[in-house]
Amino acid sequence: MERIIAIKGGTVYTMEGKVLKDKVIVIKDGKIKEIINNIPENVTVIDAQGKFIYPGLIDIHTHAGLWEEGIGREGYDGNEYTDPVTPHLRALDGINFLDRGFEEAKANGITTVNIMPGSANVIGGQGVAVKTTGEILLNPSGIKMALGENPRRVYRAQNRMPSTRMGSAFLMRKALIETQNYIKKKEKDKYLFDLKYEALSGLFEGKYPARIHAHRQDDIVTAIRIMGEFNIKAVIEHSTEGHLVADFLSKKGIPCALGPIITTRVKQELKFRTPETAKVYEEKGVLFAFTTDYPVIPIYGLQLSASIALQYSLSRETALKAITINGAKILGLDKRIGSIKEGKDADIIITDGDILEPVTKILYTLINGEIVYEYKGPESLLM
Amino acid sequence: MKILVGGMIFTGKEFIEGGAIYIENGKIIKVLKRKYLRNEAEIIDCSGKYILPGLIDAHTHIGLYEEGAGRDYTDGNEMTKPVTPHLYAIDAVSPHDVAIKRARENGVTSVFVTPGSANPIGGIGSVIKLKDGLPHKNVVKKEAGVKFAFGENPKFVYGPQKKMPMTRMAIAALIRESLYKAKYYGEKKKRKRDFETDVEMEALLKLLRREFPVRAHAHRHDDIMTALRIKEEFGVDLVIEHCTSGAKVKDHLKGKVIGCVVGPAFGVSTKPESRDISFETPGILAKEGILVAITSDHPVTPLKYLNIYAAMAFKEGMEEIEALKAITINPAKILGVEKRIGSIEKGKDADIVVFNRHPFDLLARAEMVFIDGERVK
Repeated sequence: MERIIAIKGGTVYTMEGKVLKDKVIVIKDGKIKEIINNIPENVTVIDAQGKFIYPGLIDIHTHAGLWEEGIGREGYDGNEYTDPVTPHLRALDGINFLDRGFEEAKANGITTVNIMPGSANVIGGQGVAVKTTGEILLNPSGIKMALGENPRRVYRAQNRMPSTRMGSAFLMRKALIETQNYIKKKEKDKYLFDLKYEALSGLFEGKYPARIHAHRQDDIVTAIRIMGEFNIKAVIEHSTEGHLVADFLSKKGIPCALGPIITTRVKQELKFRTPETAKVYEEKGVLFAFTTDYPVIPIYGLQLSASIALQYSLSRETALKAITINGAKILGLDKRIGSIKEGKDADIIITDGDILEPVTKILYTLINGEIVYEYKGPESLLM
Repeated sequence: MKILVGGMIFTGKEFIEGGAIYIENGKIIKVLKRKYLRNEAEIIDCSGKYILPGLIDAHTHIGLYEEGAGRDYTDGNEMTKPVTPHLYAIDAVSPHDVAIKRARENGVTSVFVTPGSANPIGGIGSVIKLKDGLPHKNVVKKEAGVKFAFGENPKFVYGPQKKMPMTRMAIAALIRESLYKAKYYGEKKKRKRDFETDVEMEALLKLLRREFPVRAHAHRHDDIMTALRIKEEFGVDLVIEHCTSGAKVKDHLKGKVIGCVVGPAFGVSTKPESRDISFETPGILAKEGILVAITSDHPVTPLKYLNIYAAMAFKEGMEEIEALKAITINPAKILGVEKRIGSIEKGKDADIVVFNRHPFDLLARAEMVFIDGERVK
């Protein structure tokens, strides 16, 4: 017999424009079947009266399982800094799905993460969007690229290109031009096959976007300029100085991952980091989602980032969107996840208070209608 | 003709008591459940003994790291290039390795000898019998699998050299890239178009044609999963080597792999990827119906104690018959040589070991060993 779950009562933040009270969310076959007034017969009921209900949270920029916790170098699989252009690498091949980070994510209400290679390489490889149970949602979810200090620092130490921002931009363009040549040649030669160019071809076909690590405003603009030259869809990752070019981002319709905002300014390109960026994005109409860049900061920093942005005048509504539906939109997965709506995946969290309050506890996390975390007292958090 | 008479015979499937094994011209010509002696034969009394097929280890580096020799005499890892499918372990097996004799005298009669795990694609391994003389003359199957390696080893060989791979991502990418190359090479070859023979690609082409399987060094569950994904992508056959965290992904392994060569477990977890080391793993996998062989990974642990490793698996929950199969017929099947070795059956090579006690008894001693019908101990 299939199991039908009904979540009864509570305040439901659907992220579909309305807040519902004292309704019943019916879950069947892992999907949200309907939202009704009365509890149907023969169902398992989760009593959420007086509680708060949200869609599962989404972090669109992590390295979960790629830099494992508590292991050391053996568990570091995110940066292949042996070659600055490695589009053929797949994050999926380096992920340990039994890493503690995934447990912690579920315990903190995060049900979907996008996992990408690091930023040592100008073109780092392919990301993958997964549920925190390990289910693959989208592979590849994009090609990770990087501008700014990281590639430059890593390769300058090896006395190789790129040792400047110019070098990074050049290598990025070069790889894309070579891909165009490859696509043309391939029309004539069906035996031609190169895994690197195959990976980059997807960008030209619009199958997935380039997700470009860029902190400084000039790096952000360089990324958009280069992708514009090739008519490739771009998402800006981190976008630390995005508030300084928000008009431009808005005009170009470029979505951004924002964060981590809970860090110190450990490098020059973070000098102008401020939680106010979120407010500016809201005002200028830039589609953005918060990110922890986990494990750069702990995964529970996601809600906290949204909370902190509230102190800097971000609206509650946008703050919630920026940890739920916006991430789904940026990943192109908003038909499946990101809000509580009939037909969507039953990725739902139940809390004992406002999720934007740091003291709020996650009581239940459901993924595909299955309870993957349940609060059972303070020891639940020790794991 | 020789006849081994009496004792408990483990045929590779079951025990039979008080039977007789007839050996002629290096082969087992019949196995009877009752004694029926012939005058012209050499009768070997095995009453009270345990008679097994010669033991087989499906994953060793015997002869590549000669026991007691210095570091200049190691030949297992060609750490100059991460993709070397065209290397043959058999070209480096030292006939002087004393481990061959030591293992043989403890009942191990055949092994798979394979390149090490420094390279994501390391080279081709062979099945050899542990007889004296040139290893090439003792080959049962020259091409029995191509060694791949996932996880920490390739990372730490090449990463510090700032060469690819330094991550698990790049290990998979190098393998994938090589297999795609081989695939297109194969198509060109078929059409004789711009075609030049490429020794590396020839080796991988055989893999794609499923002439032998991938022998994938994978300790951790995620590395096992990566190997499984690559198997699916290219339709190749797969054997998981070590399989240390295999119990965590047993449902994924079931029906997907030829088998798992589990071990070495007689040691400590020397690295994060071997953290789940346990003698329980072979039993857990066998219960799922997965073909399991137990390995020493010689010289990581000594080959000569192979029966003890199986005994440990038995102690930790593996069924007795399964544990015995895991050092006899199962490795033979995984190596694709089960028509010749691995069991005591009519028509098979007369590779036999006679123990004075049950081979899982710590005090058991191999009293007699036969290879191709010749008594070697």
